[in-house]
Amino acid sequence: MNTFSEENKLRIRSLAQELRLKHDAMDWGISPVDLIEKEGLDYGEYDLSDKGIIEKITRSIKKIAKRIKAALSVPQKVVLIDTDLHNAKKPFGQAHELGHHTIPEHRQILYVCSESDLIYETRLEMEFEANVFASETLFPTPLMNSIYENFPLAMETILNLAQLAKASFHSAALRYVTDCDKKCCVLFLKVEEDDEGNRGLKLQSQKWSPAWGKKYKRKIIKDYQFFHAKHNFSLVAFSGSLHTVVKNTINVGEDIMFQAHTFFNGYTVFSLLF
Amino acid sequence: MKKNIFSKLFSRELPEGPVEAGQTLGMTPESVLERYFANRNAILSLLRIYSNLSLSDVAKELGISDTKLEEIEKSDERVPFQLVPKIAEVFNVDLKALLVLLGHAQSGDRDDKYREFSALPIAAQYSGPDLTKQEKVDLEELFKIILAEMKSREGENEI
Repeated sequence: MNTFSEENKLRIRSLAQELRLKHDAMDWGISPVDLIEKEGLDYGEYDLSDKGIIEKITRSIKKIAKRIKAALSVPQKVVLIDTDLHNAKKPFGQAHELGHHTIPEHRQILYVCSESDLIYETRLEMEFEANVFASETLFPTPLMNSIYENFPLAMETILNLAQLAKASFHSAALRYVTDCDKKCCVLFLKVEEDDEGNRGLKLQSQKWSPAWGKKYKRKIIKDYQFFHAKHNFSLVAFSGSLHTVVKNTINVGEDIMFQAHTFFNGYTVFSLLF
Repeated sequence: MKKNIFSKLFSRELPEGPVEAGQTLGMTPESVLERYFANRNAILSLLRIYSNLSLSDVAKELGISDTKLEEIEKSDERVPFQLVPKIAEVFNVDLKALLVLLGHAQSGDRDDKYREFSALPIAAQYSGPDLTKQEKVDLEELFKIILAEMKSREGENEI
């Protein structure tokens, strides 16, 4: 069984669909917390600044606490989420933990050992499957198909998708591109400074559609590529166009021109290329 | 060492008598073990022989073809993690020990308490590099504190 194969992705997606069906949660905007509770798990959000908690944690525990955003204990049947996690990101985190509980082999393994007891590769594969599950829970394939059929390839479609699913823009963009049958790629960029202190945008990650991958067999935009402040991408972030979709044509350095729909939510610059 | 592995797997000592399959070839249990431990997944054929199950029996239980199982048994590649719980079930062995033997989990070291498995299994999404031994212990402690606090709040609300 290849974890990253299409066959396995379909298997995981079926598990998410079965769960939604079981709890009659077939529309957009389902609450992962409802599903968590209907599956017999407790759900809680913890606040590290809470007096009852802060008084009991040592400095070294505090250090690890800052790195943890969500957790599941299979034996204790509880899902915990950091209350400080951005509200838009919580549904994906909740659905991800629900995935570990629902995928039978995850539940069996996590009943006897922690994820951190596993080797890196195994953990990565389990995280991948839990992400596929979470994505399918928030953005079910049948509903996604109707989005692809009825809405144009545009940044506005992804924004609409995030609203429908009550999920983060980041997760909506990833899901949209994953199954889109058109050639498209979404870039996630952050405002940073280069070695000389010039502000610009640095590529954090990218995800492309299967059709894009087929046409461009290698990465057109390099990992961590830096775009200086005058580049079209950067203009969006530095021209005060917050929460506005900017549409233009860009050249990413390979003399290939793309349509770009770029959007800055104040944290991340998202660019849809096609 | 190998006796320990078997103790962990079967929760009992390695049977004293020679392994049936090895005996037919005039081998001692030790030499059978040596041979079968030549690659990572050899433990699977050994477990199969001990359980008196055929390749087809096990393959059927695992939902894979006989050829695939044979390929897995002879291979040094890691068995897909998805199959490990089912394998533990088929052979009625300890899942934790099997995860270690098949290379999916770090082996516990009795001299180093932090390398033992977590007492409270947790799946956690965390940012940054892998957790250190101490961080694993801290994470477990944090989880316990949060759970206790949540329970005490629930208690207060009920009152």
